Amino acid sequence: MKAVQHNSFKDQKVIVIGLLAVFASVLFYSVSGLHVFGVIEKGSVSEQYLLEGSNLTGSTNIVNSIVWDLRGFDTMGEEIVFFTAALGVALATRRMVPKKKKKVKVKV
Amino acid sequence: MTYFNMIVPVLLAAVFFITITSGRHKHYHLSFALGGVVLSAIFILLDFSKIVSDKIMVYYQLGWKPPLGITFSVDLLNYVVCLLLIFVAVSALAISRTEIRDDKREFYALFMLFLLGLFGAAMTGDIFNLFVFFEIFSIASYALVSYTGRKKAVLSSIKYLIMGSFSTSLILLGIVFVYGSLGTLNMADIASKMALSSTTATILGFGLLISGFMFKAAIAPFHAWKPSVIRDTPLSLGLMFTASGTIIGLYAIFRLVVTVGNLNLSGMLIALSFVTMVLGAVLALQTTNLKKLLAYSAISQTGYVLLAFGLLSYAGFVYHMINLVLIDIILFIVAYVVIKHFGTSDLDKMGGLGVGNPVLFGSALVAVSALAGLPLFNGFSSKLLIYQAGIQVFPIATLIAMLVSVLTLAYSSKMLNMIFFSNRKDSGVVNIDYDLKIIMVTIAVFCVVLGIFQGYFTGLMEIIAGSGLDRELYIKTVLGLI
Amino acid sequence: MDLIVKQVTKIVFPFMVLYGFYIALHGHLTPGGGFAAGAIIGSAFALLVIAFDEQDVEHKLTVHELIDLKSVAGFFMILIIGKMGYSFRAVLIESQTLFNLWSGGFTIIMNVAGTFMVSSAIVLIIYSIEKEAWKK
Repeated sequence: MKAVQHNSFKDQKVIVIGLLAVFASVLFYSVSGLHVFGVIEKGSVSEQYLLEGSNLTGSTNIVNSIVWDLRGFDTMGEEIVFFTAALGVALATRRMVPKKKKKVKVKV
Repeated sequence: MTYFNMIVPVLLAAVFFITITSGRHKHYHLSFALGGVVLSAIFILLDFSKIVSDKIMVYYQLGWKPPLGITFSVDLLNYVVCLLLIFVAVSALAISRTEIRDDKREFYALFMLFLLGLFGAAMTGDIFNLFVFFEIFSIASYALVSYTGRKKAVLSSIKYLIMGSFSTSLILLGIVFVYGSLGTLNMADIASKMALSSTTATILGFGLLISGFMFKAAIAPFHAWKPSVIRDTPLSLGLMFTASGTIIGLYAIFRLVVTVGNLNLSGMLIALSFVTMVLGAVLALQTTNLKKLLAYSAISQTGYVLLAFGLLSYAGFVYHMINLVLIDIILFIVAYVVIKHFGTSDLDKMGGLGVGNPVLFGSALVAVSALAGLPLFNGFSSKLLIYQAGIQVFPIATLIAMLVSVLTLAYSSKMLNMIFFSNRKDSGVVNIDYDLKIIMVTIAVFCVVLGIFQGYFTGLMEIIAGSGLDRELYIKTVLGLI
Repeated sequence: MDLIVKQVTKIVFPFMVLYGFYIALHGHLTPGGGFAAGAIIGSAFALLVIAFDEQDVEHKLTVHELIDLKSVAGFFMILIIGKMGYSFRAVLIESQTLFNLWSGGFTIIMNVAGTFMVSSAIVLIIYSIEKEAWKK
């Protein structure tokens, strides 16, 4: 019984590795379709960001101008993600404290 | 002048007021949450005339025109999704009023962040922004699953966290590929560039994005998180997960596949929908836990929506999505009331409520009839559209859908029988709060109305789905080419 | 923690906060910005939380106040991001010259708001976990 289990586990491992290999090869194949790194692509957003970013936002740090102004709404969203995570930690750690009175009334 | 762009700030303001209110003031948190939801509803309704006349509303966040900045774009499809979210949120808050007693502050703050993520994801017109809002509601939901603090709940929260992070990373990887190959993140811009310069990388990116959204909608290979999560959370959150999480996932898939990508994925979607429908229905037949049964039932119904999508019956897609939400609201309220009455979610220990509770029984009967697709109820109208589309395109689909419909009737009547009749004679009168009663009856009336005036609503759904199909108009309006 | 850590914390703490604000206010000129500045200020407060015991810290900063602080910053940010904020941007940029400290238009406001949010989130997380250690 034990041997059978061991075998099935081994088979599973082979399947998982095979799937991962297929996935990785698909990824590697697709990367060839991406834009060339370091070359400004005509008509893309990055061209506009790099050439006009400073004048549009008044910030000479291009990264900062993109992150905090041009795509500032996304950054605000990420801050909310951070806020949510912090609230979640507060909720989780508070819940782990054993209470003196048994007060959990939410019926499951 | 549009108002829909005020929803995210209003919900964030509600979070602000909830967090600054100290834990001593017990009932303020709910009021702020409800206030946020009501204000959002008002803003959405104020935009009604605008959406009817303009078809698509566009708002440029921080004043940057696309494709430079982030755009919110709302057409009739998003609009309907937002309205459904408001229905779900109000019902979930009504359930939570008596269900949530401890840690109200953290609960309602996270609840509103959950809602904010859903609304943002429903309204945005930018794929990275979509990812951000998906992340907001995912992280809020990971924390909320462990709300009860029990060992099982924490375990399923961790399980959900790991699986959910995997799916969000798939979405991010997909965005990397789409941006890397097309050089833009705006949905309308992607749609316009898709025909000219899409490569293998773009298609792979879309595949990864869609599989990430399928996780959120709990479609077959990615459905495993749902039953355990629904079992361990409070029912108000269960409703949010089942109804709103599902419709957002489905909406995102629709938007990406139809409006943005214009891809033909019928074969894959039909195959996945078969697995989802059959699996959900069969597992629902086996379980005796009411909460898990509801989760499996929702998975099975999601399969129907996906089938309508695969068969290119977009009216059926929207119609069944709306029905799914309405039915889920009634079923979750009934489940909450019943579980509170018996003190357990085990169906074997229930029974005998059929005698003294006409309102509860009537609503449950309407919901179950609609779920099983009996004529005169809304479930039938949408399933009819799916069957018709199936007969024209792929008859086996209709056969399987009908078969699952029979299974649905079986498990839902099992549920009805075990709650309301079973072997017990009489389990007394269940005490239902007025707000829950009003919501339950209103939604039940909606279900019947949507079923009786089937012809009229089918036309309406075609208009709604048509707004998502009109790619030319979408691209031109959002990019400001008109 | 022992005496050395406490004394060094007392000396280093103001400089860390100052450096954080420097990074935030120069975000539009030099590498850095809101997230980095928030992390620096947050780690200064985290040092405070870790170095001192419950009795020392509890009366100075509580979790609730921190959540409040964070929300205030967040609310500040929404107001900016809402309808009114960016309409000032054109006026701001008009009055500024590039490469000056007073430039960057809208990013400078966003950087400061982001700093508040990130720093207080870090403190909240560290405090919540550290509180568990105090209980034992």
